Amino acid sequence: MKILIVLAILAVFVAVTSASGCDKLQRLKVKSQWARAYSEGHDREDFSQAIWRAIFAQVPDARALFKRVGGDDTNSGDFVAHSLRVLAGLDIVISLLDQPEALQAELSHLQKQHDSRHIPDNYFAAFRLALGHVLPAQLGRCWDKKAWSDCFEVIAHGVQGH
Amino acid sequence: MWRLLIFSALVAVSWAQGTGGIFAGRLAESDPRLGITAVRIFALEKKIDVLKEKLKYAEDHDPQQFIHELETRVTHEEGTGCTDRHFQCGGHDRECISDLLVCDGHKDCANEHDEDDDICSTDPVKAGNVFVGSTTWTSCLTREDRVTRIAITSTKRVKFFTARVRVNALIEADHTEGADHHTETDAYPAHGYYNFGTRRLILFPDAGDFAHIGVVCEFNKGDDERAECKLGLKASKHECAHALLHLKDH
Repeated sequence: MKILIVLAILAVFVAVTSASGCDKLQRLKVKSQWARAYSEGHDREDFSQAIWRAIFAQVPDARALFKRVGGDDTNSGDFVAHSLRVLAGLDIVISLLDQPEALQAELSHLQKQHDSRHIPDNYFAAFRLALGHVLPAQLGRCWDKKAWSDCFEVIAHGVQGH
Repeated sequence: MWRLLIFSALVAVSWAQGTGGIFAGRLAESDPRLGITAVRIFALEKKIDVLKEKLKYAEDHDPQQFIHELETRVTHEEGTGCTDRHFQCGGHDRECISDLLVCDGHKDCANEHDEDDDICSTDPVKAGNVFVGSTTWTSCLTREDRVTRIAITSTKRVKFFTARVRVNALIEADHTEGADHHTETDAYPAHGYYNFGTRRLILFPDAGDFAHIGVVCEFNKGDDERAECKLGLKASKHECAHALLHLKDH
C-alpha cells in the first residue's frame, strides 16, 4: 500500500514538473506572440489554411476525421469555417493561459468535444509540428520556440486528457 | 586579290630565308592554290579568335536580363498593390495572396503563378552560395565601410511546409583594427529563412556584435545573384546598415 502511495506521489510530482515547463513568463510570451500570429481578417484565414495544409501533409489519413466539415478540400467553405473555429478555440485557450481555473474549464470542455473521436496521439504531434513551422513563418522574428513547445504541451495534454 | 599578294609575299619571304622553315619549304614545293587555302585557313583561325573574344564580351550584356531587371525595378518603384508579406500573382489578374501559401504545393493564384518554377527556385539560397559586397553603416555600430560576406552553409525545406527554406549561414564582416589599420574578419554563425513570396532572405546572427541585428536581403534586381540587404535591430527593425551583395563566382 505504502509503495502505491509513493508511486502515486511520484506520478503527481512527475506530472507537475513536466507541466511546469510552461511557466508564468512563458505563458505571457506565448500569449503576446499568438496575438501577433493569429492576426485578423484574411490573414487569419491564410494562417489557418497554412497550418491545416501542413497537418494533412504529415498525416494524410487525418482527413478522414474531417469528412463532415469538408476536409477533402481545405479551401472549401465548410473547412475554412471549421479551421477558423479550431483557431478560435486555440485562441481562447491561449488567452486563458494566465488564468489557471478558467483554462482548466476550457480544456476539459475541449476534451469532452474530442474524446469520442478517438484521435491518435500522433495527430496532436502533427498539429504541434505544423504550428512549429507556420508560427515562425508568420511571425518572422521574435518567437520563442521553447516557450511554445512547453505551453503547447500543456494545451495538448489538456485536450487529450492524458 | 590581296590574298594573292599576301601569298606571294609569303612565298617571297620563304625563298629569301632559304629552305629552313617547314612552312616555307612545303609552300614552295606544293601547289600554289593549296598554299592560298592554307593562308585562308590561317585567316579564319584569327577571325575565330576574335569572335571568341567578342563572345566573352557579349556575355556581360544580356538584353533579356537587362530588360527583366528594368521591369523588376520599375515594379519595385510602382509597388505591387499588395500589402507587405503578400505575393502579387502578376499577369492581368492583379491578385494578392499570403506569402504563407507561395510555393507550398497548392495553386492559390487563379493563374497558378504562385507555384511557378521561377518563383519557387531555390537558387538564391543554394548551400555554398557566397554573397559579397560593401556594407555602409549608418547607425548602431561605429564601423567604416567594409566588405561583408554571407556564405550559405546549409538549408532545409520541410516537406509538409515548403513555403519557406530554413537557412544556416556564416556572416563575415571585415573591420579595421589596431594602429596599423590592418583588416580583421569577424565571423558570425546565423540562422534564418528564405521567403519565396517576398524573395527575402532573413538571417539572425546567433551571437557576437551582431546578436541583436537582423539581416534582410531582398533579391529585387531581377535575378538570383544580386540582393539588396539591410541590417537592422531585431526588435524595432531600426535600420543600421545597408549593402548591395552579389553572388561570388565559383
